[in-house]
Amino acid sequence: MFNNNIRYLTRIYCNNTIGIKPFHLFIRNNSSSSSSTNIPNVIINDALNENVQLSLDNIHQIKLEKLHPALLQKADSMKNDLKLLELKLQESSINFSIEDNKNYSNLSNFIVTYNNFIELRENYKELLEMINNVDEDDQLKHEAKLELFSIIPSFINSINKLKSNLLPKHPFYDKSTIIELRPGAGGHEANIFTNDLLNMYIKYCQFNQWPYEILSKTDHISGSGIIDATLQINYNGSYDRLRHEAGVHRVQRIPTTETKGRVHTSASGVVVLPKIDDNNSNSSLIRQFKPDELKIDVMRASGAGGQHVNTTESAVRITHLPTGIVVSIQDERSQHKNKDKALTILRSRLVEKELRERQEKERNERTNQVSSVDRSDKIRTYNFQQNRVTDHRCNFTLYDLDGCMNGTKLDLIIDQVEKKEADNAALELIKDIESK
Amino acid sequence: MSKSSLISLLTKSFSKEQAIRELKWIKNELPENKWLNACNLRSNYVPLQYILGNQPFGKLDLICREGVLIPRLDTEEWVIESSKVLKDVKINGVLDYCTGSGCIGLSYASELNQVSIVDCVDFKDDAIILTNDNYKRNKDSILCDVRVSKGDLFDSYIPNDQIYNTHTNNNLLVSNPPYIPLKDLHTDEVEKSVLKYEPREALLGDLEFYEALCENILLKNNSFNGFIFELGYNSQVIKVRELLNPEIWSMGIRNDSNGKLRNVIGWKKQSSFNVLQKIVHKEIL
Repeated sequence: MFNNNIRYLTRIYCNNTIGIKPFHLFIRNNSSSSSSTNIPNVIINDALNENVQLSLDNIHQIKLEKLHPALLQKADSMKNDLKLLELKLQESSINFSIEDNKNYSNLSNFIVTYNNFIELRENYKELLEMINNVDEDDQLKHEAKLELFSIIPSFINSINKLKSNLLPKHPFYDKSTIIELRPGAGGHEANIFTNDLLNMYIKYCQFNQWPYEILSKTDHISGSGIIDATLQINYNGSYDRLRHEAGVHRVQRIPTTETKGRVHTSASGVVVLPKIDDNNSNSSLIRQFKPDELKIDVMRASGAGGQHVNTTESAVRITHLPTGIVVSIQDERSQHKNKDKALTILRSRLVEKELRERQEKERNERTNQVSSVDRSDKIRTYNFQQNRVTDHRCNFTLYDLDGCMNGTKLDLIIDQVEKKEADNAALELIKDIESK
Repeated sequence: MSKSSLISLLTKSFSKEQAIRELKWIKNELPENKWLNACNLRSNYVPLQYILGNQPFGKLDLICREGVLIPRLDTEEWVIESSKVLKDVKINGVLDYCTGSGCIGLSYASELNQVSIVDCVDFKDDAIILTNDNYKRNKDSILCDVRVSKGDLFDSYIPNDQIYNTHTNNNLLVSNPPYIPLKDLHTDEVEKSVLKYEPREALLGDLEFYEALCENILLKNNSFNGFIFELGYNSQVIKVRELLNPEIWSMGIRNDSNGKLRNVIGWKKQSSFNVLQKIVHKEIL
């Protein structure tokens, strides 16, 4: 089944978009294995977040994550909801509203996941009992261990899938993305690092085969580094992954501009916005602006204009008067294309701002204190000397800086941030359920 | 050739921001072996559009060649703005006089689908050839018939067709004639690059063009119920107002987004072109 000395890295994904994908299975051939059975070595992250190597000897001692009873209670109540809907459907299909239909389909999907989980859990329990039963004969125990070995990965997967199904989805989980990048402290090195980040996201898009477009980019006069950039990613659902990238990214390295070999610390700001589709047929959802809501400036030299001058200055600056948000775009030679782009970005900034304010309000109502996560907080450090990327939100360090910067390993970091967020959300949900 | 030496060529003649921006466009649109030459030309004030060979205009990508005026952003602005209000107006013919690159006529042909035909007229062969080329290049964006013909405004030329001499038709006259008076042509008002590289006959002109547009076209063909002219001076507005009967015509001026006087616009009272009122900043009596 496995070729000798070839390493396999299998990642178990949940099918759901908001997700916890914490368990990475590293399956590889273990040529030194003394076991008579031809089984692969499996390393998992167990519930204590430690790497544990699965073997037939310890298989029954693995600590799997236990779902909180409150979460399971919620799952049961959803199962009940589905039963009620089914009854309603049996009675008469006329009273079945569109809303009911939607609920019915959502709940049906959920129940498949939940039943799968229950089945695997029963299976798991039975096998454990067999293994722990002193009266059973060794051959049977061995078989039970082998079977346990084969179901543990699916069981972990089903736990994660169930958990993510129980958690509320981000309101913009299905949207595409706009990323805005700007250098922070650190002078020219910050311009260069901002360009490195832009390239990282571009390569990440290429790696994922997500279509992207650079909406705007201003080069630094020296030719290296950028003053700002806006990247649009035209892939529905990309926002749910990339929103975790928002915040201040810090770099520690010896800049190419440094002559004395000193390590500098610089920073870049990353803003991630959901893209609200304006070419969607569902145009009633698109925010329309009243004429007095926007101030649109074109950058023109003073003078007569018209035939007298032939300006190439096509920049457009849009100010949203109620909020004071300003968007300037100058990349296209066409002024009205610049205007379209600026409006797209403005719409995204506005929905993001509204969402952020709503979330902060909800959080404040709940905890009666201002959120501890400030947008100006640094979220991640890229240390080139130590070849590491550390995400400060989940205390995860990836020792593969190149892999991160070329987009292929960025997922490993985002996975951890997602897991952290899902864990927190699960805790909140449990608190809510228990306080009811 | 390193970037810094290309950029330093451009910063000799332009601001840092403009130099960065234009170098990016040069690199985007031209092969690498043409960058140095392009920067050299540009630092000598050759218009960027002649160097790159094109200019975006509304939905169109227009070819630009020496000998024909480069479409202006100020022109694009009023064409797009007026297209929005004219969208639902049924129009038989749009006549674009002094069409040059064809920018105005072709742009209407790409924006308005209630129009039967757009006529582009110019007196100069270079302009006729270029407009035809631009029509071919943008054919996929064009929604109605387009005809390009050679004719002189001062000969009262009208494309030989029923469209314009059928009284009951609803026609629109648009024009961006040369409007820089001789006394202004060699002042600081006119950009060095424009004066040196763009055709003089597309720039030099004054009241005589507005007189001809009104007397030779509008008043001789009763089917024209609306007009939009680009201009740059109040005296040109006054000329148009003097020639048209205020009992029949409503008129107004429009400023560009830089706040400068840019158009005189008129429509016959009760005609469907009264939607043009929406883009007028001030009505004139």
